[in-house]
Amino acid sequence: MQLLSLEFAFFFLAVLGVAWAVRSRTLAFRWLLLAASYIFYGSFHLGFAGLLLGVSLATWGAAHGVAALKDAARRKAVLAGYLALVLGELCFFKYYGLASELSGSLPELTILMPVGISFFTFQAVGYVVDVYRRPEELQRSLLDVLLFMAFFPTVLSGPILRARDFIPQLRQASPAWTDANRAFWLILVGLFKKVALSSYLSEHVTRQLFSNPDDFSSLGALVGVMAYSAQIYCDFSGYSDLAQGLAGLLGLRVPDNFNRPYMARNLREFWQGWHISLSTWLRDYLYIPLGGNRCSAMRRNLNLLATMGLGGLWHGANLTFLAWGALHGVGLMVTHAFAGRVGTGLSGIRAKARDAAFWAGTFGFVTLAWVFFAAPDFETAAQVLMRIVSFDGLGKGPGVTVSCITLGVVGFQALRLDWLSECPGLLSRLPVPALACALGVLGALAVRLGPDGMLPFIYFSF
Amino acid sequence: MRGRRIVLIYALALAVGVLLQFDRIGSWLSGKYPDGLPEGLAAVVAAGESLHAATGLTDLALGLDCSTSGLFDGTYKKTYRCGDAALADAAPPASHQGKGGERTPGELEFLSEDAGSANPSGLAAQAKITLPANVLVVGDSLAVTLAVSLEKAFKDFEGLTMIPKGKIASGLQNPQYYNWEQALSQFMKEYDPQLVIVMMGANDAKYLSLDPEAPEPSALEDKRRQIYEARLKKFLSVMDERKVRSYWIGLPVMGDSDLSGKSRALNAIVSRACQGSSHGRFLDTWPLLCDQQGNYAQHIMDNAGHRIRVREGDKIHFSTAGGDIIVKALLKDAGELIEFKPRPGKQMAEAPSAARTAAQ
Repeated sequence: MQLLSLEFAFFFLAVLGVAWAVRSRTLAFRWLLLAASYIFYGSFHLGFAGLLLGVSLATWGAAHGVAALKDAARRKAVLAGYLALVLGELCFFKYYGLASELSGSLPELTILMPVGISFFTFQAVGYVVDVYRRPEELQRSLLDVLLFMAFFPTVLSGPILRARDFIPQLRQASPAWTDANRAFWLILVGLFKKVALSSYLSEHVTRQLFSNPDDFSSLGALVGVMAYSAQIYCDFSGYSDLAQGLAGLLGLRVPDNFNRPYMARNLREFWQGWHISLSTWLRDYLYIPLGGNRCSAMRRNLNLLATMGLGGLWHGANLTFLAWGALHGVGLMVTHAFAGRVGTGLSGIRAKARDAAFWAGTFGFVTLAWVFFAAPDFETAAQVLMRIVSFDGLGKGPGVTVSCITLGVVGFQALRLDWLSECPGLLSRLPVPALACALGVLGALAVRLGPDGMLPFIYFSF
Repeated sequence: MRGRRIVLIYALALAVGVLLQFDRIGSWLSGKYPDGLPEGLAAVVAAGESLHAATGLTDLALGLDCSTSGLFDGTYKKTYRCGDAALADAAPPASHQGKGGERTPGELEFLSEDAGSANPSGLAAQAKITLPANVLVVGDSLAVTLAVSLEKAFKDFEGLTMIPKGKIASGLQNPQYYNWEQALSQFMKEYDPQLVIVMMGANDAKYLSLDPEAPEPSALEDKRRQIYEARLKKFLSVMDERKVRSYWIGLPVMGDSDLSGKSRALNAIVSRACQGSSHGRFLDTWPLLCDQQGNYAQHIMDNAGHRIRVREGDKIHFSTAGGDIIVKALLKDAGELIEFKPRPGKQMAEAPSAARTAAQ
């Protein structure tokens, strides 16, 4: 059952109806959501649901172990054993194929990668490490931990939840999220971003560009890689909007995952707005344990490089992802080195010019790095970059619609256009029938503008 | 907002959305019920489609698709229906007749005809395609991947222009989702190709039933097979009638043994249909991407002894490297149909199958 399917729309209607009927009885509410989550996740493959259940049980047990044990060495041993188990499981599913290919000696195995495995594994690790650090954060209820791990709006592609924020909401008789208009709006925006915009850019430029770069002129390739920046934003933030909106309709709050990343004037700002739940996870569970920035500049740089490199590899078993992460690591090193030293003390038009230059530099760098993320191999990435710097007009140029969508998606953020944020307020003024009609018509229009058939979410691959 | 109100708004919005999009419900359900809709559901769908048409929503939806067709192409959306009013009128509704009522009159006529008497050797006797030539590539996601390799290969030759028109998740078994006969007719008019390369079937093969008693996988003479054969014949006739040569690229071995058996059976059906076609030709790709024992292989060794990954992780699709191997075999075989003119400094691609061995 795909998230963007009619089956899911009816499935969610049934879950929503029963959820609100039992909302005040929190135990029934939690059991319902757990059953719905496993039905949804199991619809992809029953084996996936079994794996998720196994990881969840191991997580619950390990958290109890590290919370109950008094001896520091034993606690550490339990944590290490748990991390070896779940990270080993993640590595097996994600990287065995690459290892087999690179080594040539490992036997070929038929491995079907469970959808969302990277997300729920990181979520599990974060919870157990939190309990290791602060045993009072232990969640005693197995039901709560199972639901935290499997919650169906987020299990496929996040946002990565934190148990301390999510689980207490399940036990409240009153909903934590009360702005249903905003939830409806987020679902509409998510639909439009994914179905109409991301799919269009994918099928009309980026898939072609990263298959046959030589077919594009320099300008066509340049607009194509910028279009990929817009596409991956629409794809992933669209999914996050959907997840947030669906959870919101159930009265549950899941964290923001995007906050205008293409408005950033440096890479630190970019990562504060891009895939926030992953970047904060990497910060809390990898960068800070490695020493963070409370150490020498050299060590800090190594920490940045290691964190971003591993963050890149988290996306998949391809060295191009490592290159993407390493590029961001180097970029962050440079950002840290020059932070507060360049362009300070300016005001007025000069300050605006500085900000514009910083924005252009940051967006250019991020877009350049996406080339390695999108390309299937280094050869293709190099071809794309070579097309851009060849400065010739041979090949496909930039399409008008593609250019407009790309500029719209990027410009909307860069120019801080806020007017769409008023829409949930406008929706609240409508009576129920008019509101339902407006949502139905806008949703149908978003779907109508998309392709016949559905393209997968980019982040479902991770 | 109270919970009951939220549920009510969601339910109403969903109902409005479904009503507005009812012209797509048929294609969605066809994918769920390949044997035909249950009687009750078929009646509901037929009533819904009638209501959709009577209220003008069907025309409105088609109008919206066609008025924005400049932004899309005939595989992204079914805008092939916009190029010809007759095609738009021929769009789906009539086909939701429940179990046993799936065939259209045209399909029945085809079923009653002889299996076809075209001389297979006639194709080779026809004059070679003259350059420059448009080469139309149609089919499912396998054709989309194949087009990537074809486009690379065509750069080595003069006068060949490729027109990729693959449609993901399509096939001949679900014309409500994507009607290949209509789409091909439109593409033939629009691009006037001299050669059509077809690769599809992965989405069709899974609906075949296999005869467990047969010595090698062969599809049962069930209704689905008959319908598939009828649609296949009509599809090939679109090219035959215009005297346009076509190459049907057979399915490669699949990772799943059940799907592999069905794919082989489908290849046999298509191969026979191509023999019965005046301008069709079938290319067997089965041995190209398998190991020395004829089994599925994720990696094989190329001529230089390099281990290359030829299949994707889903064990259905082939990688670009796998596509390159198929294209080389195609170009070698197509030498009988086209007088290839290598660009200066380029050589004709050599056949890959002779020297390569399967990876251990």
